[in-house]
Amino acid sequence: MTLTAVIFTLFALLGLWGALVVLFAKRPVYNALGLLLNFVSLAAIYIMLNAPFLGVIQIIVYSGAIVVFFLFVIMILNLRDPLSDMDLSFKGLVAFVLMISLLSLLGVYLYVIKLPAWKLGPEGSPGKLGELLLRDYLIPFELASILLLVAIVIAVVLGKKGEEQ
Amino acid sequence: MNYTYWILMLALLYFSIGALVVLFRRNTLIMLMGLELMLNSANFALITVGNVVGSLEGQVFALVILAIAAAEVALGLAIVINLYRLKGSANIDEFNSLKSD
Amino acid sequence: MDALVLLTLFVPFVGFLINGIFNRYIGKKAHWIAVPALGISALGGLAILWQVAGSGQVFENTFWTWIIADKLHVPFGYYIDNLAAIMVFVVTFVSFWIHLYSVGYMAEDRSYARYFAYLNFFVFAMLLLVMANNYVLMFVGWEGVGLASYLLIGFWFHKKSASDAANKAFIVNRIGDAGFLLGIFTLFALFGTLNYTDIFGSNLTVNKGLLSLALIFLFIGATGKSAQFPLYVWLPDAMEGPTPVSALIHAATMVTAGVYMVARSAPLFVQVPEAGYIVALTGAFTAVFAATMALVNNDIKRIIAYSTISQIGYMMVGVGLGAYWAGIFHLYTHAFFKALLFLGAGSVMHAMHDVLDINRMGGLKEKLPHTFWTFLIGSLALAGIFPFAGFWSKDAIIHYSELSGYSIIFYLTLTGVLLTAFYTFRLVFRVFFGEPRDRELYEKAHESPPVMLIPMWVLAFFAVVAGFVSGWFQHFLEAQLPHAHFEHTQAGITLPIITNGLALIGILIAYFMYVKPAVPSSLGENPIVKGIYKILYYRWGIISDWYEIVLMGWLRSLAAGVYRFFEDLFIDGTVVGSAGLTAATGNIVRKLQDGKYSTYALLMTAGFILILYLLVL
Repeated sequence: MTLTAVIFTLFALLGLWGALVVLFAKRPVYNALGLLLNFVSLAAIYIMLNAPFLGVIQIIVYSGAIVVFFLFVIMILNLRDPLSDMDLSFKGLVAFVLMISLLSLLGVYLYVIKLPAWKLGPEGSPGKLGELLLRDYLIPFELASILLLVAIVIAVVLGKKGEEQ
Repeated sequence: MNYTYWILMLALLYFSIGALVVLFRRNTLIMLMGLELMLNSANFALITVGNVVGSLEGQVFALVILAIAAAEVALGLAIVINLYRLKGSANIDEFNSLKSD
Repeated sequence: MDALVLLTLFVPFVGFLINGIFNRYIGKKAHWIAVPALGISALGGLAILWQVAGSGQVFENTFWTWIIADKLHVPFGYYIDNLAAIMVFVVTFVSFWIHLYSVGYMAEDRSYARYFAYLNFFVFAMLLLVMANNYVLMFVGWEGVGLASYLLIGFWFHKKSASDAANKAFIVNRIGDAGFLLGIFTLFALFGTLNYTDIFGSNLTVNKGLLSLALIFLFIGATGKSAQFPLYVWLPDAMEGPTPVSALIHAATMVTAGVYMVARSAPLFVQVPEAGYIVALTGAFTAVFAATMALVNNDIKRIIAYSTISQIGYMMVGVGLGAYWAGIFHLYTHAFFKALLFLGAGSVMHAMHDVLDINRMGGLKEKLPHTFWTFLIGSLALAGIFPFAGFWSKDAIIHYSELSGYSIIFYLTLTGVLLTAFYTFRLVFRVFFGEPRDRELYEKAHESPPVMLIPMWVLAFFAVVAGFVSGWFQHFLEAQLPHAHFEHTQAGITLPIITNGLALIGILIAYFMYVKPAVPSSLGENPIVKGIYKILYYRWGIISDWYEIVLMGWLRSLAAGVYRFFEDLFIDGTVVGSAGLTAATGNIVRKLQDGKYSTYALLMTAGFILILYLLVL
């Protein structure tokens, strides 16, 4: 086991811990922090997977913006008390069974079809990504920007409606 | 030992936990966090496969998904706030009426 | 020929569809669709007859196979030989004039478009029956005719009597249809096919007993549709429908179907003359039996209705004895003068404000000259007076019944001639001669509009001349239809003298009873005469009562039993049970629709994973 593999596994376990915190924590702030942990570990993993730009963006957008956003909402709504929103009924059990079956199905399937051997691809530097985005994938890029614009408008509208009530 | 397999399985594990958060928790805020987990694991899988295939397109798609996730979480949180104002709770099962009464 | 047949057959159907679907928008303009449709059809019928007569061959074609079930192959196709061509011509031609007449007769009716839609459908069904190239398709037309007659007899369904009459016609016909179906089944068992060409072309030396059974079954079907004893009871009641409908039923599109069917099956009947004898005997008996009931009836339409039953009895005698051309010839002449008589009766009713009782009429000769003269022509033709159409055909039938050697049939047909002449002219004298018995009605009477009179005059023309073609007709039909071998003695002069003499005697008796009463009125007080009159007046008091006594008692209890077991247990059980099952299923399934997002999300995920499983495995 190389050092990279050890570090990778470490971050993978950290990410898993974060995900499990999201799943099981009762205080919303802990959930948000679990999310943050997951995001940061994934950012580290991205950097190890030759995607340094994405790793940085991950930290800026996800950890910086989205998690802070969540925290904002938690503060605004003043969610101090622990939540008791876990579905402990039959449906919750079914959800677990479903996910385990999904995992085992795809686990077996991916194992059987013999995935290609692991290798590191080209490094996703900002320059190369920008070239691709603005040349070959210009239309998805523009569509994404339009989507963001629409999202801004909708967010404003939703906020205004809330004020009127 | 094929790393591709294990890395993809890790992405799948994150994804399942994210989906489980959506299915298992009732609070809309936490459900949104689950959605973020799912989107992130999809990004993870894209980057992994991009590496194996030897192209940067996986990372490009991951970037687009990132933008969409940002938009989605902004709207989702706006809706959560409105729901909270409406009912004083963010429990998804309380919003089971099609009429606004 | 294909195009011609399809045109003739389906143009009335298209007319029916247009008038039926858009009847609200078409309203009083319905005749602009229905009458031209029939006009095209009539021209097509004429063209078909022309082609068939010109080429002397049988036209047959199959468009597609309609039913395939194991050995049973039912094609959708036509079979037009000389017989069918004559029928198509008669049906479309007479129907066209009745359609035209209806424009005037029904002008005031609220359901004008519905009426014409039914009328077109009636003709379509009859054409399907005539043109079919197999028994199943014929049966389809047969049922279509039954349905159309039901709809038209009950056309004024808000009158209880009309809807009762429609039900009666339908149910009585159904009994006959059951016989027809059994006949078809037996034929299929015997021959393994139901196409005319296959059956008639096959080796006909099958089991004679089974074949005659099949033919008797077919004839039971014919007694229903053609109103023969004992299933005639629906026809007098069918007078509840509009009068042109009666004309259509009696002349062209319905009651002749049974005669046609027997003639169509001629190759089979020739094999078993005994079955034909039963047909002829039933016909002869019906001819006299129905005539006796016409003697004393007071309803103008019912008298004509009984005369139809009687005349169809004659046709049955013709086709039963194997003289197919004579039977069909009588069908052909009868179509003209019977349609004419009904249209005349309709014209009288029109003038008399729907009064049907001949005791309230009288002296209408001056008021309704056109109606009178055409009605008189029709009556002379019906009575069989030389040289009107009825004479030629009826004499041909009587001639063959004499040759056949069955003297009972011969004497019955001769008796029928006397009775027919008497009741026909009783009707004429009561309606058109003498003093008006209801002044008020008489004063208001008025002649019908030209759109009604023109068809009557056209039909009157044919009622005079239609009989002159008898020689050609015999030659034409015998070219393709098999026929029993009579000694072809040329009809002598004796028989026409006898029949005309009998008819004249009948007319004179009627004259002296109703115009110049020479019969002492004390005769009416005679208990024997009175008794006979009563029996006849109450239609032998019997047939309906006999039905009641013999059949209805145990039929009712059978029906009650069936109701109790079948209806309650099976039908209700099935219906209620399925409703309960639905409700129970709903109770279970509706829990899935609880309005909670978590449930929906879970189900969606489950479905997604299920699909994934299906894709991967």
